[in-house]
Amino acid sequence: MNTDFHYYATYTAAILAGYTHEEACEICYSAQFVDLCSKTFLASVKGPKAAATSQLSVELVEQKTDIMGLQDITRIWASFHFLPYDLYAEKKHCSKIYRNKYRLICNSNGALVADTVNLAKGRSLQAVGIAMHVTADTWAHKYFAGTPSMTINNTDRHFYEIIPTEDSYEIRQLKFSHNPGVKDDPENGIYVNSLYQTSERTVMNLGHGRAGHLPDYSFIRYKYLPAWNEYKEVLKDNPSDYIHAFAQLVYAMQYLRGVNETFELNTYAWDTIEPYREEIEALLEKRQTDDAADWKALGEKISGAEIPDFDLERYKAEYMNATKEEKAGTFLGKFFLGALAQKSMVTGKIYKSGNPIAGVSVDYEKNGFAGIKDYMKLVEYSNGGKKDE
Amino acid sequence: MRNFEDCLKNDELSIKLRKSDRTLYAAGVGYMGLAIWSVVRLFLAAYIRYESIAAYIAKTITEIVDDSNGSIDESLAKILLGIIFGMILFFGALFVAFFLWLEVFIGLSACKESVGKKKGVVYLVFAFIMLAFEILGIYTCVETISSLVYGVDPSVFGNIGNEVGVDELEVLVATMSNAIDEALDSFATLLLSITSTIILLELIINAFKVKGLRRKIAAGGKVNEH
Repeated sequence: MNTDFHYYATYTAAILAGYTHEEACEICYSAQFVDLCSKTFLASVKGPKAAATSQLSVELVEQKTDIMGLQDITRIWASFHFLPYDLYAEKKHCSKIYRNKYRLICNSNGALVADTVNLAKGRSLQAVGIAMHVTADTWAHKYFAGTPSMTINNTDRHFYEIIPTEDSYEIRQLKFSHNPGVKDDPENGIYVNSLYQTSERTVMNLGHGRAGHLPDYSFIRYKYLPAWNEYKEVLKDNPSDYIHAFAQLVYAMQYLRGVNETFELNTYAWDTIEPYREEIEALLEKRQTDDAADWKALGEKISGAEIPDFDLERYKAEYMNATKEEKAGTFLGKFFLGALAQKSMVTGKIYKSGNPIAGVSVDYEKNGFAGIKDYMKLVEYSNGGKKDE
Repeated sequence: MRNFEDCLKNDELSIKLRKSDRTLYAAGVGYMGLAIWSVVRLFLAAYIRYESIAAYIAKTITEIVDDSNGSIDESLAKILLGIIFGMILFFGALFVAFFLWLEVFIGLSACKESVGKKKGVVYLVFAFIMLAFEILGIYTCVETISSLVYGVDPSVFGNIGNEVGVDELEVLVATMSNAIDEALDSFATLLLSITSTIILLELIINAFKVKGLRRKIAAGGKVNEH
């Protein structure tokens, strides 16, 4: 998903869930920041590199794809953008290496979604924002995995848009170009995607690169052949997925505020969004690649307050000027703690399932601290260190 | 919101067709790649053996002059040999170009058939012919290798065990060296022929599968939903 959903739609969902305007701003900023907290940014604020929640294109170009490099990539993308659906999925007649990648395929309402939301319970608004980003992406990025793999993430020419008509629908084959300088052309069905490469582990085969930006456009419905699905088509109905994502975010944030006692999968706050459902569905179906203006208008209408534009530099000075002891209490400090916790939880679950693809994970609560010193902050926090709320 | 699941075509025939047409496409691309590689290999071989070819030409010129007892001088011999060699190169190039065209035609036609842009059988006829050639090529390579391994004239080893002269040793080494070179060449050709055969078999089998499945689907064949 893009800024339109992660920032403005998440703000709107937070308001509907009962958060104040200021709280919703913190949540939506954190949700959007997940897409921008790269090692480059962290280096600029002298923040912990292990807290990276994304990788820029320039970082990916230089990223090595040896075992260590692949684990680094997978830790980030599987933890924040392509949350695995079923870490114990069965797949017959395949190698263990293939099965490990197959088990990272993302989908909505997996067990890890509940773990992600529960991890944010009782924590900072930044942690809430991170959880909302991860949850929303499980809808948009379905059927792709957060690890470079041609045999999982590849697509081919069999890519068709479903265009609803009054009584039925039309099917139109989509064309892809590999020139990143060219804009997507929804009117003519021409989109940009990553270049086909036969190498299994190239970053071109990471996530939904082979489908371009299509998963991030709310208006489009399409069917295609994912490489892992044995020549069977899958349907990606983005308007339906996005409204489910929105309703689930509202429900999740109601739970995090304490409105509901538990967070259940496959549960949505349809009653809460009902007054605005028609408006939201129309917004999602609008044939445009960026819904930011529309979501912003809706969010401001509901909250009655102006949503500030996203500014990557907003909280930098606070973090950089803080003393070592104060850093954990700053906006970015709380975000970094939330990111470390999320990454640690997901990679720990992947490792415990017997899958080494995201690297070795140390259960520091059980075995004592070992490994990357950035995680010492999490240990200190877990052991009753300075609270961030 | 409306449900669009009925737009999915996951019946057994459609799935089989997708699998077969993608295999056909891969076989088509693979066969074209092999065809181009064969030509590149030819040029590489000529480049590697350039000195031997030049030496052979020089030796032939000398033989022509000597055998003509002076009636043909060296410059005339060079012209005559140049014409003959030129004609050999020209017709050889035509021969290579024809087969390259044929192999690319077969591969490209397979690719077009796989995406539904072609429905002919001419390329399959040629594919069968090329398959026959490849099988013959495999047989020839196997024969050559076995004759080289088992067919070395024992008399070249002549006086081994007794005192061996330098001349005899030179002949022995040259014979063994040539035999090994030929065997390696034949082995490389054998591998290529086996690969081509497998690719052609995949191409032909999947071309027929694709045609058959498309006919069944068009005729409203039995549909099994997964």
